Amino acid sequence: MKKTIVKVMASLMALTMFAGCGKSGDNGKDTGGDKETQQEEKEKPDDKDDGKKDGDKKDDGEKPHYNIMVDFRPQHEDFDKMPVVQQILDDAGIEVEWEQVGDAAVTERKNIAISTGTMPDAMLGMANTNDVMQNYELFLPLNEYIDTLPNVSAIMEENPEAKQFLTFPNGNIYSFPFVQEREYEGFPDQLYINKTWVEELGLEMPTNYEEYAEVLKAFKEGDPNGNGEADEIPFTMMIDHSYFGPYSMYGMFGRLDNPNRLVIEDGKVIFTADKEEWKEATKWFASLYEDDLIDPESFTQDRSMLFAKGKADPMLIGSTNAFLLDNVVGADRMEHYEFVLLEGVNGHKELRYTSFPVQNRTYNVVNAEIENPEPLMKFYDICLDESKHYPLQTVFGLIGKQLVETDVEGKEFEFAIAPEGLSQDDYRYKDAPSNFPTYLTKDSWNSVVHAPDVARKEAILEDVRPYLEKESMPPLLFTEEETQELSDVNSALMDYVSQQQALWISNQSDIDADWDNYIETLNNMGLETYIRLYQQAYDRFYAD
Amino acid sequence: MAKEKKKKTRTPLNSSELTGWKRKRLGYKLNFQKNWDMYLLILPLLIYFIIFRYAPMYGVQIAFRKYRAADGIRGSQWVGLANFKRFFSNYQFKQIIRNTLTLSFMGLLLGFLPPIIFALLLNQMDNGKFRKLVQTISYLPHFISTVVMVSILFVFLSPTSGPLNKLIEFFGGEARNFMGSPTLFPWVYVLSGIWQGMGYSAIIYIASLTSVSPEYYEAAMVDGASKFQRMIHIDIPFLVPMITTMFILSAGRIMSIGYEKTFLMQTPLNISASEIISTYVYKVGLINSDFSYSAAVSLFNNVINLILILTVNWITRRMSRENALW
Amino acid sequence: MAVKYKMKKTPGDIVFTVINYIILTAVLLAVLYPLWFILIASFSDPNLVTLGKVLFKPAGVTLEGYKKVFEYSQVWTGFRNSVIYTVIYTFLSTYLVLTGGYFLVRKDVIGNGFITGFFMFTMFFSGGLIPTFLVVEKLGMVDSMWSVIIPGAVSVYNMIIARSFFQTTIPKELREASELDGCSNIRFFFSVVIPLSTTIIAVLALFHAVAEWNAYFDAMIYLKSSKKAPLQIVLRDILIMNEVDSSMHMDAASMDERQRISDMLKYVLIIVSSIPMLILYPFIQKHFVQGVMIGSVKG
Repeated sequence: MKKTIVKVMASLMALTMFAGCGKSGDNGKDTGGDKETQQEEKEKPDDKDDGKKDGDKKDDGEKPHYNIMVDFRPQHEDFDKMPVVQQILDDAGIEVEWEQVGDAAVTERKNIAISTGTMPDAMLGMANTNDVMQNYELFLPLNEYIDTLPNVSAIMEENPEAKQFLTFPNGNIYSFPFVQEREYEGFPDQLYINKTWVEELGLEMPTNYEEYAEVLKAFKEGDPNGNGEADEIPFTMMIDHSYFGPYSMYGMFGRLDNPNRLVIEDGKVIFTADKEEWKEATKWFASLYEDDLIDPESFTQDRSMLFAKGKADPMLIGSTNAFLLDNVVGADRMEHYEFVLLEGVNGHKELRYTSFPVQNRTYNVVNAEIENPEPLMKFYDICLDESKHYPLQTVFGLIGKQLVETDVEGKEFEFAIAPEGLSQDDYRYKDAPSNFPTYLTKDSWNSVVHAPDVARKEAILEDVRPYLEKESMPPLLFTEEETQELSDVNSALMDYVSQQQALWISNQSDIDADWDNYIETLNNMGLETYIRLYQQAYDRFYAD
Repeated sequence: MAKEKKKKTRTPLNSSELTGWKRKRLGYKLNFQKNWDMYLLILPLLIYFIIFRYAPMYGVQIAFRKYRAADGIRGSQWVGLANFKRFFSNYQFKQIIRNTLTLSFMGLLLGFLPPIIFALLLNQMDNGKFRKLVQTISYLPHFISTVVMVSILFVFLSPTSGPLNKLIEFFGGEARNFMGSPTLFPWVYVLSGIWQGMGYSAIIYIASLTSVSPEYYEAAMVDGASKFQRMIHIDIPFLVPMITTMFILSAGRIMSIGYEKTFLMQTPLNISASEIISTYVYKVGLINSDFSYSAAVSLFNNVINLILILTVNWITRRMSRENALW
Repeated sequence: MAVKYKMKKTPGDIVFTVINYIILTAVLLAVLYPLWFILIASFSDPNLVTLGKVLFKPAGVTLEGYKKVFEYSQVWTGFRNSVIYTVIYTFLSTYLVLTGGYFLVRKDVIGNGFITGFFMFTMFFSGGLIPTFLVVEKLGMVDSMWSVIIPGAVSVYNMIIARSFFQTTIPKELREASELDGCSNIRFFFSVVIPLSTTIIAVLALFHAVAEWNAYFDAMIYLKSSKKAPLQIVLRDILIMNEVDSSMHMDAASMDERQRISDMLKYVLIIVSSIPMLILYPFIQKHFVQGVMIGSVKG
């Protein structure tokens, strides 16, 4: 005992000497650290170090040199070792020092870089529209370079909407296209029914909402999974999830619903959750809940729990909404489930859909203080070069490795099977930087053999095309003031609507009794402001 | 240097001739001569606080500005109390404050005593092996990350498959949707917090109790005091200073409930009880990178906390000067 | 401690002991069961865990989660880094907090009130992330191991705990006596206060070790090279790597796989990252189980 005390004391004493004898000890260490960081700082685009940086450039040979901060997933190979990246760099004739920021730290590191003036020459996959709109002068407007870049200008000419999307309210463009025209992404939720159970119980597949309720009832009572217990879950969902929520089902009552409770009708932004149609739909769900047909965990469960139910043995789920049902029930159970499009009140049939592709307007912003930006612009342009399949390769992996040639008719490539021990995604990320400028056209996406679940979904999409939502909410851009105003009303409104919806469906409160008070509360919370802001941004989007 | 100067200007004085002020000054001087090395002892600390805590403190002003990264902290537009007004005039303001206070007062009321009682009982446990076992096991939940803690709660409290509801049903009760009820939410939050933190918080009390001198116990035993009496009359009075300290410190943390656990526990059904200041700031401020607004709200929190800790300390001071923090 | 008192246990004592056993056993079980749950969940099929089918024993046993963690070579460097950071941090912080705590208890030193306020003020007001980052950067600590040790080295909260401890364990008379012997404050601190404070040193060392071991935020902000990342950052990376990325769908099979692994990893990571702290605890605990000896005195 005493000996340990002595030891601890001795070490503490040593520490006092260190810490106590002024900062000399500490300073010693600091200069050690300094050397390391200084080296890195030289490569950082710190304005004060510009002189040094230039010197560096010359030492490195003729190639222009840049520092780029990039969102880095742990399964990525180092960017220095990614063949696609190297090819593009060689084509562009530049060198890049990558600052690879782990996914978890992206937001903080990006905020610090922007706020402390330590932003590198460019950032890939990190900045968001707020960053740009709050600090226009920190980012380089790319407009003037477009005409000199063959691929970018071709895309902008052929797709005015892409250009429109990229343009900020001040008329500038800060980032080159990051677009993936994969149509099925805009088709969020489909309703599936357990066909095997329907057959087991000798029923017909339902065609409208009334028959659907009957089928759910039969699921509840008929023990279709045959284990002698009434453990079947006729219908389950995640009440406020865009994929697993009831939003498209609300369309059966005359108007679709959305997580932001807005739809577009004749160019007007319409709030859904204060309308009669919405009320009727909610009542219908409440009647299902009353009959024990809705999973009581629909309001609290997370994705893991929903997915676990989907894969439970014996089968538990009778019906649910999903983006890709395979995720919920597992690929081997897909034969049991079938997509249904139900007819609603007055024959109404409609499904949520957005025609706008997956895209981002700030994925490759450039520091306004960059010197000699032209070679970097060329690099971005080459990323968009279709002839070398770069748009495809930067998203899905290397041709000859992750993407291999295929015999399938009308297709050019298929995804190679991942080696043992790697999931398909891990394998792809290894060689795909995944946030370089890209324009993955419908054609180049369709030149690849799609995975079975995606193919199945695309087939459904073709079948239901006449019933898809006609007008969809464009990817709006709010000004800084609008963003602030919106954030003041947004969270209160959305939380309140979700809460009331959940209370009403679960019959903890009576919708008719609450309704007037509910409408009044919505108005007090700033519903009018909410709609106005969206309408404003919507009108601006279509101004030209 | 300063010392020498003082010596020169002052002629030797008879202490009886000293006025009050001068006596005080001499007292300071003597005190300094005696205790100058105390300042040396904490010199590294002072340097640390100046560099790492006070030097960055100019950042507090972003709460009064409309912060733009491009303008920097000092260059951003001064907006006075606009950010605070925005918070106070928010529709949810009252509810958020109420929820925050409910959670923290319940946490303080229900959570403050268990670690103390636990430490006292553990201290009276003669069986050393059992005692060590209980102590070690009870310390472990501290290491469970919030994410897992919350997902365990969802699994355990599930209205359909959760073991707790199975147990309730077994005893003839009715299954309850714990995660979907605004009235149950604070209980779930606080009790799970006690479960997770009790053993860890008890460490400080357990450690304090080891300094009770055995002679006290011996004397008490000679007097025929029972174990329970020894706990009441020796252990508890001995712990009072530490308990007071911990209580004052908790008062200074009332408004600062972290966002992570509450945020993860939110469901549409309990949102009316689970939206608190920190979750609100997360949703409104941080997601939109609205730094000024978040800074204003957290400054508001801290001012309240500071007032609370000053008040509690002041009350303590009136009751027992020794136990107050300053 | 030499004399052992043989005391007859009164009936009251027996009742007390029995009740004490009951309460502590209840606490033990209440805590043990969820821990057991985490342990078996880390070996079980995550779907069964989520469905509440894994309650007392593992089901669908699999070592996949552990395999995933240890396959990742960074785990070992992360582990090594964490040990280094934790050891240095613990020594440095404990020492600094002890000196501060002792200063706070010395109300006779002029300026004590001011300095107490000076320390405590920082519990409520801080400059925030960006100015702090700038300071750390100016000191050239960014991307060096000192950035995860020094900026967070002192906790005022712990300092106050230390102060309260000294208040009860270091009687004023002791100091006054040593003052008469001409002992300087610093000498008194090292040769009297410290040796009398093994308990609080153990407690503070534990608090600091645990805090640094679990810390990730500073590492996330200041450390750029992955070679320097502590274990917590590496574990977060593994978790993120296996999280479902909703924006890119490759095929359902790999999504599925990923969801399963990410659910399982949640539990595995707790086990992996808390085992070192579990091992550490008894070593530290023995410095504050003096009560056990007193217990034996009581007979």
